[in-house]
Amino acid sequence: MGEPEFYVGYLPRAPRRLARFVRALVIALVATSVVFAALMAGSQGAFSNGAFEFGVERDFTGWIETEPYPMLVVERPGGGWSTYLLSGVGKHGAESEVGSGSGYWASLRGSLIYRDGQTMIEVSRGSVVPQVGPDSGSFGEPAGDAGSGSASGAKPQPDLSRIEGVGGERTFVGEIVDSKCFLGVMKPGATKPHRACATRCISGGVPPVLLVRDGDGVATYLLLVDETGASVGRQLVDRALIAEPVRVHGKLDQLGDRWVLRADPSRIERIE
Amino acid sequence: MGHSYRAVGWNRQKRVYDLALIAGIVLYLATFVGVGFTLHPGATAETMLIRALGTGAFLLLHLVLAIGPLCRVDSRFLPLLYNRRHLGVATFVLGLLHGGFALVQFHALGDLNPLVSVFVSNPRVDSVAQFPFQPLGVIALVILFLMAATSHDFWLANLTAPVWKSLHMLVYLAYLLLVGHVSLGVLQAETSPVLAGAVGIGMAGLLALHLLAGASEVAVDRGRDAATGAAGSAAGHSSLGLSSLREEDSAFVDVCAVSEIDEKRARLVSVAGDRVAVFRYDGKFSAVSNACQHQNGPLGEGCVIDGLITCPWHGYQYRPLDGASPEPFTEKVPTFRVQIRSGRVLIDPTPLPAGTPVEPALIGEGASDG
Amino acid sequence: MLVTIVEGGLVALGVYLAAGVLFAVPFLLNGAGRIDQDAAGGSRGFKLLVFPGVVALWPLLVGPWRRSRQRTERSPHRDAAIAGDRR
Repeated sequence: MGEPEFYVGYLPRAPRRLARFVRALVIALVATSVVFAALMAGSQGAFSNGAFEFGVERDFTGWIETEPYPMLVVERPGGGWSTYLLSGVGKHGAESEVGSGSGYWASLRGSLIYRDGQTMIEVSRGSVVPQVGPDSGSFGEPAGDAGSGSASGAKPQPDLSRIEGVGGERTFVGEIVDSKCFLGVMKPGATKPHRACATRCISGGVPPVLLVRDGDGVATYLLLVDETGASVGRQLVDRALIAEPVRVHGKLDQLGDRWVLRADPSRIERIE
Repeated sequence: MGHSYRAVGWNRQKRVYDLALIAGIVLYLATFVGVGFTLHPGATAETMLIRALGTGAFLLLHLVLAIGPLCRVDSRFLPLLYNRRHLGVATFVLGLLHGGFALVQFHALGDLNPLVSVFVSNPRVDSVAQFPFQPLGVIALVILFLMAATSHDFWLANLTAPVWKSLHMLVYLAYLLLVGHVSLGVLQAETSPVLAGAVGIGMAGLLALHLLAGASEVAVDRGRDAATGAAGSAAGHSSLGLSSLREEDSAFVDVCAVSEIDEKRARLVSVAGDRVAVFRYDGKFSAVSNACQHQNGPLGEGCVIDGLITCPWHGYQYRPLDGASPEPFTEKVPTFRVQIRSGRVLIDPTPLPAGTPVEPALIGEGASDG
Repeated sequence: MLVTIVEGGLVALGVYLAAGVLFAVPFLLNGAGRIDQDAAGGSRGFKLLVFPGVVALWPLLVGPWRRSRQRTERSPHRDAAIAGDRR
């Protein structure tokens, strides 16, 4: 081995044997970190199939429902009505875009968010234009192509009457998430790492949904409202019930093509 | 130091060091993102970046923490320590990018100031499993910032090494906070055992290295104490025969036999509450306080180069005679009187003010060399 | 409640850092050179590099600047040497 070599950093060259050792060490360190990077990247849990058409704007027309959460109601080609939850830009609901009070026909511009057959529209700022009546009811035309609302006379508003308690009185175990992130804006858009974001979104007015998975992991989304059918986001934020396992007891209503769970927020329990 | 400060005192070794560091970081991030998108094409770019940066910063922090004890155990790791501050700064920068992206992703564009949101969006401090993990990351990042911001030598000179060191010891708190940040955060959502295993291995490895380094330090101290213990009688005994010595000389403590110190190297002895390094060079013996003024590096593990005691950490140099750095440098360390008696090296345990000249003891003075 | 506390903390932090900026500019232009000779001729890059630290840790530099003297290192040996010198 001989005399131990002494390293002085500011000298131009390190002692020969030491330099060899350090070179091998650095190569080993870099190689280890690359392997570690691959291992870390590869071991991440699956990402959802949700999608957010960020930056792609489309035109929509339909009936805007403001309660309990802003929705766009569009007539299905074969009859019946489809509901699309609306959100604002960022972590905001669409209330500031669509207003409150009774519904109305309108055209709007926005970006699609979709997952598992559920679709939401992020409404572009200031794009909601009320109309006297519906035109052909366009949905998702590329922005700019849709005919602007040619008023074709008053048309009756869609029949969206809530069928109360049609699903009976039920208890569900699931996780409360914000519909926007979970559907595709963020991956993951649920569980603890996403809690702060879900809290901000729901606090900002994005509709909260109870995510319930069956034994096969298939997700059902239940729109959450309080026992009077009003929006419930504030209470969920104040009670910190978001993004952790909860038990919710309530009445299952049907609103158009959507399940709505009517539950007293003060009785939602955490499952520790 | 003794010349005007530059942003970075570049030299060849630092350039090589930083090139390797940057190459390593770029390779790490590219591999993470590349493998990530290959295996998970549906992933979002923000999530991939946040994870690449976060895991990268945490991995680098492990390296930063491992270098210290590795150098205690084997001096061949010292070149990694030479420019460790750039590793630390890189760790902070990766952590800052990770935190910045996460702040925008999870907290921006909402109904609350993002900086407030970080601390209030998860109020579940009443639960272990649901405990907020993001504030832990913020506090760790603040510590890493303070360390990165004070990594320039200006801070060592003006805070003084002990204050600077206690500030930088907070890195262990930052590490623990980050273990909590990872365990209470992403680990709660991931099902794969790889990440949990990596965190566990990292912790166990760091703990083992620190225990190993601690054990070697204890061994050093034990040998030293034995020497000091023997010193009492040796000094007492030899003072009888040397009547010309002043009265206080009887307090001289024994360090070791002359032969036990290698040429240009030092032996340690513990007196007056700290370690003293006794150097042998060109048949002479001089003793200085062991802590380098720069970063309190162990001068006693250094070497005499060109007649100057050279610190093994960053190469700061001191004259053995007076413990002062040569012009234009201004660092000084306390010195000690040395004697050779009957083939043994003894020092006066009373430290002299930093930079006080002391006549070196000559081998011929005492009795025979071993 | 929690929001108010955090907001208050952030305001306090903002005031502290603003004071740090007000301190750091004259300190790096003049004060640093008075307590540390090597800082007197320090490059612009050096000043830029230490600026964030001065803003964050300015209370530690107030004393040395006021006394126009660099902080002295404390260690058992240094303290004992000084005490011995005074005797």
